[in-house]
Amino acid sequence: MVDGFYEAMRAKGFSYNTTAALKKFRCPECGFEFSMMYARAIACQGCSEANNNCPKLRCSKCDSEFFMTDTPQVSNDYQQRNLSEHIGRIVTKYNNDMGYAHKR
Amino acid sequence: MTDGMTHVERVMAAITNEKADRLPVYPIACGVNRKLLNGGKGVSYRDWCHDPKLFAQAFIEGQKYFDFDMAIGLMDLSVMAGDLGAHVRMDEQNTPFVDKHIVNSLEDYEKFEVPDIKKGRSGVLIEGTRLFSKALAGQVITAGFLEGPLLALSQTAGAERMFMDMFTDPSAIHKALKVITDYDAEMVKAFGTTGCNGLCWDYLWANYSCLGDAEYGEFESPYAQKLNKLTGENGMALAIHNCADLPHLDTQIKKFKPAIYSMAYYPLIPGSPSASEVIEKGYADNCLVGGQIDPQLFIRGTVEKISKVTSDLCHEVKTALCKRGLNSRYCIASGCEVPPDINTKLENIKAVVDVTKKEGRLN
Repeated sequence: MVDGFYEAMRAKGFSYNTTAALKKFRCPECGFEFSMMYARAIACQGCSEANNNCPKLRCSKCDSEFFMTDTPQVSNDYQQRNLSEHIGRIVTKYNNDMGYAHKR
Repeated sequence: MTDGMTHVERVMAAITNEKADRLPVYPIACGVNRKLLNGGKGVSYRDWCHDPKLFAQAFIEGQKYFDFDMAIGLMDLSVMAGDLGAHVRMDEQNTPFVDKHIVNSLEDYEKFEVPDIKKGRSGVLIEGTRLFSKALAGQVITAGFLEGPLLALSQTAGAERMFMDMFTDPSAIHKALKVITDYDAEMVKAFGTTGCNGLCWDYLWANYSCLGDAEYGEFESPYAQKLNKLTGENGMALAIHNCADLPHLDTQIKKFKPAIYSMAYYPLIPGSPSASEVIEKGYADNCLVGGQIDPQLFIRGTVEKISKVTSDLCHEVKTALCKRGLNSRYCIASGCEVPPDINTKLENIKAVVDVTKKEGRLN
């Protein structure tokens, strides 16, 4: 959902995708609060799909998987596609920079 | 209707909770003031943020035109990142932003060095603040504006990258934060010589949406406390700006104890604190809180709309202050910087000031 906070962050140089990737939400299964980047850094680490524009997120507490559209910051499939590509690019660069393999 | 106090008297009364003639007002109009330069033709953002004389003159012209109660020398949030080596995209009229970060490995966090603060836009910021503080001394309360260490690092390294490394390799982040804190400390000492009355910090990530108490306590609070102390030691009042949706009010107001705290309100986000809630919960008991007009209204709103919003905010604040037994501890302001966009309507800024002069009167 777009709100004034995204506008404020955008004015400071942080894109919608950056803010959405860093904002916390609750796991629909267990209620654990985390951000998409936290999921990618912890629960999705080493998964070959993480750098392949995966539209899913994985809870590092209960290990359940769910789509980005289940979080408040993503309201439709188009937005999900856009955000998953954004995060995929970051994870790919991160793995390349760190010398990590793109799969477990 | 004429004011019964000077700008300085009014703000000092509000800070110390003495009786004031009206609520202070300061829409955070900074870069947008450049439109008043060059005989009203304006100058480009790029020119404004690279020339200390233009930077200062914009605040001086803004004061003449709008009659604010304060002047806070905000440039933008890529000043430090640019001087640390990140590439800043500098459009003619848009707010600059970082488009190439400098961290590509964990070792890169150890390569940060404090730049020469007399060069680059850090030098422009300090010199510009010196010029407008001197010109506006005695007329209004003046303040410099500086980015906190975690914000500067997120701009330099890339926010997503920094957050991933915070979770997996926190020691690398701390190494960079120590250097950036030293950079901030150099800046604080330089601001201390400019004659500005206060220094406003932007600790952007003090937001429960992004960081919990434990994470904020580890990655920013210790560095911020050191810098807050240094601000006071260099003769400046501490001010904090936070436009988060769920700000860390207990840490930033009750623990950091700023003289002025500027904040935003997002009615669509559950839990975002409104002006009356902030006052009722005691956050204005020892601090002048400023806010919370939606900055986008300055572009998209009409004079009628923003006048109504300002009037409603004045009445909400006055009622809450009265209930809490406070005199004047609230400043009518925008929740974040008035967009320095070429489409921002100057008449809307003027309307906020004029309506506050009328509707913000205190008995």
